[in-house]
Amino acid sequence: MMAMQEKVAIKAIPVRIREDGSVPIPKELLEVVQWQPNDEVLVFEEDGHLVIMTRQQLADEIVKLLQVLKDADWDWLEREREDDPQRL
Amino acid sequence: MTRKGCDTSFFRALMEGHPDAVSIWREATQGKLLLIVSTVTVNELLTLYYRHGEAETGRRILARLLKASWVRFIPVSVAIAARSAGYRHGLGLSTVDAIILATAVEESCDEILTTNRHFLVAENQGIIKVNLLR
Repeated sequence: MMAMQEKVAIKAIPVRIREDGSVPIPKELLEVVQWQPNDEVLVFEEDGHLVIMTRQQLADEIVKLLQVLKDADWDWLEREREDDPQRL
Repeated sequence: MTRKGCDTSFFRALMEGHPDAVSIWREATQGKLLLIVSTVTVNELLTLYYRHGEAETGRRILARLLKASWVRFIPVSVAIAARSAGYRHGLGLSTVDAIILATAVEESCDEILTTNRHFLVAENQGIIKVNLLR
């Protein structure tokens, strides 16, 4: 499934916020991001932007961000714990 | 719902694609279980990102983890601090190990997910099951 940070070629689509405060998602947008009716999506604000993604997209993105640490020195954490000067 | 305590090393196993870690992550994502994570792990993960020159990525993953309903961060409460002191003294665990173990026990987790063999002493003492991801 497409990660949210990927750029998608889509024109800006005007939508009107409903009286109950909900925001309709245009079908054209749903098709681009490959969402299906009844998919559960998470909607949240981040740095002034509205972010919408599925649970799976969020889970995949977290793993992708973890993989930035692929070459990090994870063993250092282990050594730090073992060197705990207060260890009894 | 099933609750599983996560040592920081669980995230390493997930990063490395360890089959059990990936499977557990998938189940959690689907809402079948809840991952209990000490805020101490926030410290360790972010420190790794800082040391790796990826501070912004560290802030980003923290923001994302906080949005994940299947991950619950637990601060070090007085109860957790007190219990962890007993584990430090009684089991000879480091401060971080003891806090992570105490967090899992206080949060009624059925097991703790780790690659760290130090935790096995907790299973041997009948405190909690240790799922050693190897």
